[in-house]
Amino acid sequence: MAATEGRAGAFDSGLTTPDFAACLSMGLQPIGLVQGFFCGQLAGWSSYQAEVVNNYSCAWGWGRGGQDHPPPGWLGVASPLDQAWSTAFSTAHQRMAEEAAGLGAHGVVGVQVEMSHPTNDRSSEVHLWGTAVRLSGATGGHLWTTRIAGHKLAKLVEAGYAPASVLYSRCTAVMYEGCYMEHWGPNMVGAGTLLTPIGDVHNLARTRAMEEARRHAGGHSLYDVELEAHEVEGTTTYVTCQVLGSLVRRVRPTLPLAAPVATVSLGD
Amino acid sequence: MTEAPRSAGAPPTGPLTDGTHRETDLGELGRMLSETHGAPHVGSGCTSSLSLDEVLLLHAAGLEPAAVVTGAAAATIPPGSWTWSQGQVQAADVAFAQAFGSARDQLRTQAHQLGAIGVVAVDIELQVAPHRYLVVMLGTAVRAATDEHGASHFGVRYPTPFLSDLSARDFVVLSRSGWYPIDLVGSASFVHAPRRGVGTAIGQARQNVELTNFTETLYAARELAMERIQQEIIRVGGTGLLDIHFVDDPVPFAGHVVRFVAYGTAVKLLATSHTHPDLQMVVPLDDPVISFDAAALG
Repeated sequence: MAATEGRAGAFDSGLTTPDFAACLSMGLQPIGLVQGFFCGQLAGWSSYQAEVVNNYSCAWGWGRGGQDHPPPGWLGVASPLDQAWSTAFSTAHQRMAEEAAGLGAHGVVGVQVEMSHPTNDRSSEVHLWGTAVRLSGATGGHLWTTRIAGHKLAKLVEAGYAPASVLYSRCTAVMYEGCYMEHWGPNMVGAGTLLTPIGDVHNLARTRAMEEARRHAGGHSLYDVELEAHEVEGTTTYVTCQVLGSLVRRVRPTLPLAAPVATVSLGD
Repeated sequence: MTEAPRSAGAPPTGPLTDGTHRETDLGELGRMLSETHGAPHVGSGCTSSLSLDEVLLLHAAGLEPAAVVTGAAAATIPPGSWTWSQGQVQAADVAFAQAFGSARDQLRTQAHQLGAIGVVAVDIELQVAPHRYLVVMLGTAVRAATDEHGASHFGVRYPTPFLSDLSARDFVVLSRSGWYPIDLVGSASFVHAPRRGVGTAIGQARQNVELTNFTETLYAARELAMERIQQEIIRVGGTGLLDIHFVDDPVPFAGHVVRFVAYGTAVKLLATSHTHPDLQMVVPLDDPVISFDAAALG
């Protein structure tokens, strides 16, 4: 998949002018703009594939799954859907890294990510791009990627960290109400009664996405995180949480950093 | 160690009062990147919703992010609560208080389990629906950073983790002045706007007039919410509130109900006196380019 030809002359890059200048000062030579793509089809998802993590019975005693009553509510995770997006991301990331390695790069800085449904809800497209850089005087090792570039990268290293890779995780939490409280219960409970399943579905999406990120991190730290949650509410409520960040490795203790100088800007 | 929030103690010490500035040698940093490249090292990992700048600011203040923590809670509002009536919609007030309190408790519990001293940059999402009020909170738990000798460089000890929606930058500026966040506080007040009389409504149909019933209802809602938030500040041990956020508009599905929701961070001066920050003035050289519109001359 790597397109590495035609790079013998001028370099291209996605760096801003200040980031370009900072990279040069750090000894990072831009080699070229590298990209990774993945287009896929998302198989239909049904609740039978959900990883159920909790069941709810009706608060007022009926509807516990008998033949004459609606089934009780449940809370789960749409794992196949999340797995499909994670695979799409990791594949596109790997292709970008391969393209950078083909150019002889040591790392990719300023990585940006775009994820979309190109045709309909059952299609997926992931596009990553960044600037491959070569470290003056450095030898082999694993290629690293990061969303950070320029002076921010310098600050990261000054704080004792080295970039490892761009990380993506997500969780789609699903809550089926059955006969639960959202629409039926208020007739029977007073004001201010906590609706546990609704809180649970929001919490589950966020905590699972972060847990997944931590699992990928494997003891390293995740910084520069962009966390986005999206809710589709109905009898079945879906809450999707996506986490995108830069994984960093602590390589030396640096504590404390110098206190920053407080400034007042005289610009407009 | 400075105790918080119950008693005023010694002024903060350590890096917070250190105004030194270190010049950065980018070339040296680049060489460091090269030397450490590929070296496996597994430490105590963390996750954070903070920007890199904020993480480094906290680092200079003796803190480090521990993990992202979340809290979400929904509470019931019985049917009929929104039917046009008079006075407060107490069911909605109660639902907000329950959901806000529960989400806040979840954040604090998670922070406590992580051994964090508090949670900063809490993002608060509020949703009101006919049958329930939903509050979602997400923030970054922070802990005192220790150096290679195990020494902590943060000088305040909180008996329970604090919660704050202030950014890490605001937290650092605040703490350098001797003030510290204590807790998140919030209150809500939903009030029915009284109907105008039929004659009044017809008489004003084609006039530009003030709808005094709505103005007065907004004032009533404001008074109730602000009184409650004052009580909350005192209850949690704060002496003030910073960066208050408002929601003051009609409820989308009940246009005759005016809501006034307020929340922010209760703070307290823990140093013996307020420390005025030593500021340096800077002139940025990256002003936006002013474009000339030739058409404006015509």
